[in-house]
Amino acid sequence: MLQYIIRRILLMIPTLIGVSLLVTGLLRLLPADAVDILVSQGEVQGGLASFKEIVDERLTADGKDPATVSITDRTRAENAVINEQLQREGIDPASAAPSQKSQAQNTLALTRYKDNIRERVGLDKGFLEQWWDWTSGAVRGDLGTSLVGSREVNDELKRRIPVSIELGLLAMFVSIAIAVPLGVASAVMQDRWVDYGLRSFAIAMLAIPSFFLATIVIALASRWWNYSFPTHYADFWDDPQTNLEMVLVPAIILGIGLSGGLLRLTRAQVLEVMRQDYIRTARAKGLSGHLVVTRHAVRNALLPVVTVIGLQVPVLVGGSLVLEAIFGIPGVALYLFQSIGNRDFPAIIAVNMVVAVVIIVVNLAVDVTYAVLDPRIRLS
Amino acid sequence: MAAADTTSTLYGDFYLRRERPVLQRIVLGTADFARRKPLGAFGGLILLTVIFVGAFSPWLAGDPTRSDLSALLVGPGSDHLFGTDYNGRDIYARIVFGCQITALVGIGTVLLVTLLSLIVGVPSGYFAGRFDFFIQRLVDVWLSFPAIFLILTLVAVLQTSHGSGFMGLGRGPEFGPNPNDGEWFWYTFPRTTIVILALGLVLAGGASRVIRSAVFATRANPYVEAAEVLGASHTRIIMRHILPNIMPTVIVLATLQLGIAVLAEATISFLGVGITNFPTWGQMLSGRTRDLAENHLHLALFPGLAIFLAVFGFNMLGDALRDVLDPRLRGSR
Repeated sequence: MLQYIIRRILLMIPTLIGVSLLVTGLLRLLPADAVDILVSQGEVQGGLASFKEIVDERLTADGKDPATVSITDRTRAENAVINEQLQREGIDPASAAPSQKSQAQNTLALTRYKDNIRERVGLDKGFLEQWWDWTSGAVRGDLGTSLVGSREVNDELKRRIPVSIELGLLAMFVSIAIAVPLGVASAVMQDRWVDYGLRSFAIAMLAIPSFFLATIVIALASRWWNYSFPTHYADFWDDPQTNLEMVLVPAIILGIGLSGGLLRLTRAQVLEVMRQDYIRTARAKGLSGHLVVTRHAVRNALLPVVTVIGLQVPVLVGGSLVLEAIFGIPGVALYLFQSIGNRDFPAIIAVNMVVAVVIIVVNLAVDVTYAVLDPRIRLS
Repeated sequence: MAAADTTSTLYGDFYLRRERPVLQRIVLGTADFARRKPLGAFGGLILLTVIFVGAFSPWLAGDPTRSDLSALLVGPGSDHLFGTDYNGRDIYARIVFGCQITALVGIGTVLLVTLLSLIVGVPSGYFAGRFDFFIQRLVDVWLSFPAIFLILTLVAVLQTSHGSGFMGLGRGPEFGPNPNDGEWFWYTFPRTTIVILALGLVLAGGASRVIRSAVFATRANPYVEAAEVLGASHTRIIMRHILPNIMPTVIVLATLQLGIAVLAEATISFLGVGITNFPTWGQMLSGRTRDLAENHLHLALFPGLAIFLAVFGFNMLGDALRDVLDPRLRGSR
């Protein structure tokens, strides 16, 4: 057992390296990089500072100290820098219009500004170097700095992960509460109308888009009870009421979506177990139908169901994106969505890696739990 | 279905079995399927309807992009069957034209998923051993992402806000010409292709696992061993013995992926990422619809029901096909 766990943990390493290479590689393919997006979003206050930086360098090259230089000297240097840029663009500095001059100044400042950002973020480096920088940082627990707002990705994740976990656990609880009893009922009443009804219900649950359900719920709540959902997220420990008002409904919607698959699985597992010999033995010794189901069938059937609940983590994370976006819950999925829109490389890589680690660890935990609970399983 | 494939005489099934002509077999088989699985047949009907409406939408509805500013947010009625949206566009027409995207993305994704999962799953399951181990670790990586993240990243990678984008697949113009005049396809084509590529790449990971295990199971059959003993090449064994025998699994898997693909397309359209220059069902639920739905429920109701009905039907069809063709898959999603 221990050997198996160690082997699995060792196998995680290549998988994680693969994931990080894939994410970094995908981001290299992104056509517009973060810098273009940042600049297009109007974050150009840095532009003037960048121009000053160029002029300062020029002054230093001329042997003057930028801190103590006179205003005339500075203006002269500024003009020289702009004229050079004009010449590079093929415009005669002597006959250049003022608008052309300010244009040249902007180009200079913007190019320098973008280069500065690229250097800070490491975009000027090669693919492997960039990947190595990130990975070595991540191993030490530093996930980098977000490009937008310059916030630490660590802090951002620390704030958002509990939110996502709360939503995910509640949704899982809802889906189990719906799926397991109904799944057992469906199996026990196999091929009767209850079964047909529940099976159709399960397929219907798989087919309802969560964003449709959420839209309808919000609209009807507002129409019938004049109720509107809170717009500002509150931490559970600070303000449990607002927090639950905000998270409960999305969790139920998410849970309903998950319950379809789980119901079908529960049904299939219970049917499988009901065919086993020990069920026949239990019946033969005169146990009532009710006791056979609760004591023998359900207990044994739920084992694989528990493991599948673990396997649903990716579905859960994916599904929570839509609900986080609609209800304005500041979770991990929403963060990734916004980061992709902003081409916020460090954030995208970090979130993908964190989620991948969670998925891989949960899978491992599920396999091990399964083996511990079911002695028939031999790990190899 | 076996009973419908052949006719037997009064003397029983042992001899004088005559194969019916192909067309007759298809018709009888379908009729038999419809009798045994009415809900599955209903799903098949929905699939055919979506394809038909998509193919003939210009003849079934007016212009879905025309804004009638004198009829903003009109409820369902005789002028506009499903009402109009906040730009005065006819919701019925938009749903009818949305069928084109649903059908294209659904079928395109399913074809791509099937192809990719066969390419990955068949050799992995057939050659087994170290090769399989290596391939499966790659699939592990593939599956370690939540699908929606990978889809969104891929769509972002493949599209660009300016320039021609990856492999010449630009986003296409924001506003295409009138979809009724037949030019629409080439305006939507780049973005539709991008969405199909992203969905196909993402969904193929899980599907390849199913194919792999089906190949494993088939490979263990004595007839495969017999073919090996007779000196058949790998290609021949795969083409003649493995592929035909995993066909039921492939068909069922493809049908089940159809619903997933349509739902995923609707989701990314809802998020405002996928196809934005042509009416799609998911897109109709996004943007101002959510704020306006309180007083104008029809805005959200009809496109939502369209998605629900389509996905429900596709799932029903896949489910019924699985029961008939491949009971082994029962219980998996």
